[in-house]
Amino acid sequence: MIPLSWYLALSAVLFTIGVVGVIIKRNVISMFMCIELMLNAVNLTFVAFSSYFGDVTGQLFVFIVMTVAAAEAAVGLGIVIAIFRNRESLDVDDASVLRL
Amino acid sequence: MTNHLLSIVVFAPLAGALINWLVGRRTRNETLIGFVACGAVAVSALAAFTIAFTGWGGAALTGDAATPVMSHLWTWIQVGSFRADFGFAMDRLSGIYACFVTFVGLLIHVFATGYMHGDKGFYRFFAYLNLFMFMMLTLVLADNLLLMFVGWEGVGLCSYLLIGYYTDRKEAGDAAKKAFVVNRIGDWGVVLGIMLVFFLTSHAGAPSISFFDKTAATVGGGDGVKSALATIGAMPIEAFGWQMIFAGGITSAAVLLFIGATGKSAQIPLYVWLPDAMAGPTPVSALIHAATMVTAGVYMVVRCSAIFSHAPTALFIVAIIGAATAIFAASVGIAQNDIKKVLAYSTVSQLGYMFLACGVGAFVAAIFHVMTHAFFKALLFLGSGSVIHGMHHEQDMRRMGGLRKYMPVTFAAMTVGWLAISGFPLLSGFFSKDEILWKTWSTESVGTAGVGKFLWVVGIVTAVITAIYMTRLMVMTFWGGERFRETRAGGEADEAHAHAYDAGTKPHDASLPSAGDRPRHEPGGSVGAPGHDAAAGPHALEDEDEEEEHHGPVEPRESPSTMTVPLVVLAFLSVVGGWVGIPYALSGGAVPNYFERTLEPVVARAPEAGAANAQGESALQRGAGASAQPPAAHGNEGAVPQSVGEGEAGGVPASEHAPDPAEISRERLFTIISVVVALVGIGVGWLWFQRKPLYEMPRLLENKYYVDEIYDAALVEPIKTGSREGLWRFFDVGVIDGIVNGMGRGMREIGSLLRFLQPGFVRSYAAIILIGALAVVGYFAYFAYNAVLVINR
Amino acid sequence: MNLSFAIPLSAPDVNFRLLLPELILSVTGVVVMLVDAFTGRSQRRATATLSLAGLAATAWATLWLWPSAQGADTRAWGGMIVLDPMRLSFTLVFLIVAALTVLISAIWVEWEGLPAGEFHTLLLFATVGMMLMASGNDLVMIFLGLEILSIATYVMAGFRKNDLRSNESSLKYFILGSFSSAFLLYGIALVYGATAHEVSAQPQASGALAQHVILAGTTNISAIAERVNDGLYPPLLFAGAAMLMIGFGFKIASAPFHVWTPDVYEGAPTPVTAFMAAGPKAAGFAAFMRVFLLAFPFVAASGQMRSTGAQLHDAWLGALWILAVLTMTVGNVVALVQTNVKRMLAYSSIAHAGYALVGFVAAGAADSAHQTDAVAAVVFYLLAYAVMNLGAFAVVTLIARSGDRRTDIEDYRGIGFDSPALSLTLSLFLLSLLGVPLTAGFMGKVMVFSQALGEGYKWLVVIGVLNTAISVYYYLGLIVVMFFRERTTEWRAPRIPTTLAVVLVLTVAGVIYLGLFPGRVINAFRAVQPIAVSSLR
Repeated sequence: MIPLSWYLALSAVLFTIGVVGVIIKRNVISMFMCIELMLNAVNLTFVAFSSYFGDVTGQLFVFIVMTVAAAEAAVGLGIVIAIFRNRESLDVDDASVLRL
Repeated sequence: MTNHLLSIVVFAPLAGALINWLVGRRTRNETLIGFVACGAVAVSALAAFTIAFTGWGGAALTGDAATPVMSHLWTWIQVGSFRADFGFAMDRLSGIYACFVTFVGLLIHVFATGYMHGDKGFYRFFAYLNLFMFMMLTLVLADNLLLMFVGWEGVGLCSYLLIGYYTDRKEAGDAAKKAFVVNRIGDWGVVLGIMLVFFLTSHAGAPSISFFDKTAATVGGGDGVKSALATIGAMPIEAFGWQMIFAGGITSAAVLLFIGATGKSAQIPLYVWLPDAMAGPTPVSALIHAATMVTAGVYMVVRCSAIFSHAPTALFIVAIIGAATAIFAASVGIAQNDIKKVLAYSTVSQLGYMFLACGVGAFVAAIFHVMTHAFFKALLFLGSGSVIHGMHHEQDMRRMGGLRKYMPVTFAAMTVGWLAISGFPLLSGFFSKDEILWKTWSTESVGTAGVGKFLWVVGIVTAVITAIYMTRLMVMTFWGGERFRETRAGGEADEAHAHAYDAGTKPHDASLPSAGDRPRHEPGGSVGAPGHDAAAGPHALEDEDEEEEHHGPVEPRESPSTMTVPLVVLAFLSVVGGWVGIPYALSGGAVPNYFERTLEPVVARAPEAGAANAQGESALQRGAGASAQPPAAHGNEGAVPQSVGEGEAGGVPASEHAPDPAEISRERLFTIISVVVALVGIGVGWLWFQRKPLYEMPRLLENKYYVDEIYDAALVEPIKTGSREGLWRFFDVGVIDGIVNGMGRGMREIGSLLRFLQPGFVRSYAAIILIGALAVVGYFAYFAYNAVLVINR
Repeated sequence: MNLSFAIPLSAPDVNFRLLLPELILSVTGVVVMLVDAFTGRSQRRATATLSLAGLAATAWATLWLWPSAQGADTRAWGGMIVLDPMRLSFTLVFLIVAALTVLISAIWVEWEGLPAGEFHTLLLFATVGMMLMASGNDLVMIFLGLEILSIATYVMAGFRKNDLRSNESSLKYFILGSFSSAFLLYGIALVYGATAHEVSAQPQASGALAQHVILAGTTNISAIAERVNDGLYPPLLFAGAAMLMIGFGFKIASAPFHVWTPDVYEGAPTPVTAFMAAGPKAAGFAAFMRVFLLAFPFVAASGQMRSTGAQLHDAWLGALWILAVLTMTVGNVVALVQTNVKRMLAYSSIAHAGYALVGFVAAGAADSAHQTDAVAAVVFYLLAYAVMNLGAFAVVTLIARSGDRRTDIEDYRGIGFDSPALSLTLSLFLLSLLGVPLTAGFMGKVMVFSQALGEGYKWLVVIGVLNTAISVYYYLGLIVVMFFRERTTEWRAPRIPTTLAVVLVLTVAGVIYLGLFPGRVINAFRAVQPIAVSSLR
């Protein structure tokens, strides 16, 4: 059987890829997908623990997280549409009116 | 005992402020506003005197048992063992303060009704002034440290409002802000000091920040409160040494409290706000920046004398700072040309004297000087206000001269003040200053015993300089040629402006040079009848007629009686005010030293070198306890009170012992020295400035040793720049963007595919969060590593 | 690996009584949404009134629950929701914030011609989220509450759809908010894994069948506290706690996770900024304190001084100390150079989070008897901050006018005597934020700092007091601008609408009441201590 630590390492790597992606991607949609990647890395952690323990609660949390992620996606895309209408650009670096 | 009249003392001015703000704002009737304001203070004064002197009120000052009169309103905070009440108490110390604050305050209110006559913001001025009285009385009569701090902050706020009263003048706003900021810098010391006192008393098992012992009956249930001062007074005296300042003990608490005092009472290094505060109206300068608020620091030090007397290091610091401030400010004062600036530096210098007295353990002498100073300095300020008023708001002494012909009453009154502050024999300032100098010379306090002689020299030199600069002020103002007729030093523009302004053709413009303290009349608008009340006397009506053409003539003229009557009363007090505290050596016991006898039971005595009961390895020793007789060598130490802590009726006051004849003769010798010094100072000043009234003073002095500039360059600018360039850039954009940028450039240079790596703000923020996150995770990882080590062992 | 999904059905242990406040407010939210959907745009007042009524009913339910906070029956939903004074006092703060926000936003919604019903619905749901964050006794419940709150606030921040600043504020908040939620969630996952332990033969509350189960992790706060010392993977526990701290640190805007605050606060519509600075911040504190104080307490293992629990306690307390110092200092120092009022108040809100963190540190170090006092002090601080902050933002809203046009400090030049009511109340709030005696802000600082001093954190208090000294400069700067500077542009004093007048009267009264008579409030907040570790099962 594949040891638990491998799963954990994989999810940590996925999480890190997500984090780096948020920092280096300029396109809002890409950033958004990187955040989803972070959440799914966490889901993998949950599932790995759950499966390894034989405890079902971890898998239930995954459903909750997916629901939340879906709600976030809906709101996020709404915001993206609003900003695209006003600016006609999906580059986050254009969104820098607010600074001092 | 309990007497709820105390609440009236405190709240009457608040009521006056509210009425003037709500009603006065609508009616704008100066008579009504003046009456309400003065009436409120009069009620307060009446109540204060009743409590202080009558048996019915509780005889806080004159009673045999030195128990405070209390009034508990409600329990303000109670969290765990931390408790602060909303309650007032008048013991002998706060009694003296309450009496002179209300009385001098009343006189200045009356004066102000004349001085501010015709000002657009008449109601606002008196509302602020009454609010100030409320806060000052809260400060003085509070029965615990936290409520005292309420008053402490409150007077600061009112001072801020009143300095910035002329809102159309930029320098007023700046001065107000400076005063507030500088005071807040000192205030953190007070806050921390209060907390440390609580901390110390908690460790002693009686957590408290109260000044007095309060029974369950007084506070309305519970266990009652033990006095924090008594608790600390029962602790051993701390050793003398610099390390004690940071030891977190009594010395630290005392030093922290003193930091607050340097802010409020304008001592080095936080004195810079007081001279600028002269941008406020002159009655404000008299009330707040001379007579009352600025002495709050002295009040606090004396109130906490139990704390300070257990901290010889702190006493040493107090004495050194006081002496340094005294001589420094006096030397600056000699070179100022603005009449109010001279008086401002004089105030700073005199406050230095008071702290010098505290530092050498002569707390009673300090309060004595506070009181006499309140009389003669209020007199001098009001006198200068009268001069400024009569001169059509000219403050530059170089454009005065020969005024004694035109303003005889003001001249006579100011002469009294001049002689009193210079230490002319038998006037009030003479007794208090002489007492401070003598106590400085003869100090036996652990902290200052070694440097007493040196401090005395500083004090004497200061006394000479004081006499010189006050003589210079008088000579430049009242004697010599009538320079106001000449047009020089930019005076033409200013005078022309003043005429146009007076004639109602030109609105007041603050930007012109030497814009004095000038009430804002609405040009052409009619002003209400000048305020007057009973104190103004029967001449008030005549003055009214004169007021109408007030700004017509060029000649300087005497002020109305609402202004001169308070001057006369204050002049009288400046003469006789010192007679309540004539030292034994001078009177030979014929006149008891009432002042000392009254205060003695409520202040602590400083630890003395040479007494019994050694403490620790240092030569530090503790003064003989309340019951023991002072050693014979200190038989003269009548002014150093015997009991520690509040509310104890100490033993027989030492002043009633016949002191050692040798000491008496030495004290008499020093009195003679003081007299000579005063006369020499006056003589030198007279001879010099009579001949050359416009003598150019050294630029270094005239520019106040460039302290303001140094502060700006050394503190204000770096903080601003640091904030602008440092932290903000670092945390918000600079560094992170730089890194992201730099990474991007590096990537581009190696022809990476990541060419879209550009600086971007959201992404910079994410990067900052990531860096923070890595730091937190790293921090936790260190502990995790430790935990794993422990488990594996 | 045998996993059984055949979970026997059993009646869930819901205990509706304890959920009453949340239920009432959720139902109100749905009703407001429906009313808005079916009655058209003219119903601004109706939805506002309904929202206020719902909030009042919730407040009533909260007060009704107050006496039973000390009783035995303090658990709902199988231990996912608790009833304790900490929850109730925080709930009350949230309700006050929400009600005042409804009142402040009334005029703004009218000016901008925005869909009021939607705004009120979002506000109510956000409030439900905050309440769940305060009442959740399970990391997953707290996460859900946080997401309900966050998603609603993302939308609220971008509520002025056609304004670029509002869009941008919303976008930044959304990206960074989800970014940090992911950290929080990762922390939950790690804690879940790290607290795994062998389960005996009894069936678990989660319902898994016993005979196949070897191990089980937990996200229940009380259960975590019991397993801190003997979890299977201690390093994961530390990593999880660190991740949780990052997530909560973002929500309360503590440095260095504060970076989003100025931009988001400046760009969001002013009433929303007022809400965000007061409500979600307090909710963040509620969850942060509950998780760290109750899940990671100081637990000494038998025979070992430096047990895992003690190490973990040391770790988070030390980190929190640093966060508190950084947050206070960064907030105050950077506020000095701001030229926009909203941005200045944003940095001020960061600084205030730092002061509240001082109390949190004290609570962390205190034993359970003193912990109640310290927690109460923090809640009192947040209540005081909420009141004065909402008051200040109410004035800012009115002066800014529609479209948030006038929010620069320059716009406040010399308005002092043309609009005395507004400028004097704003000055009062600024003085309270500064901590001048007799105001709520002063009392809050006294409470928080005295608690920290009581636990021996001298230097933390010294730094805190020094920071308040710095803050004089910018608060006073605004007052000086209002009263001592000549106006350069034309300015008409705005008429104060009734709803805003009500807000101003309430907040002024609140600031003075909390400053003069804090006794009753603080005593109510510290009625009993939060549910102790040992009281679970």
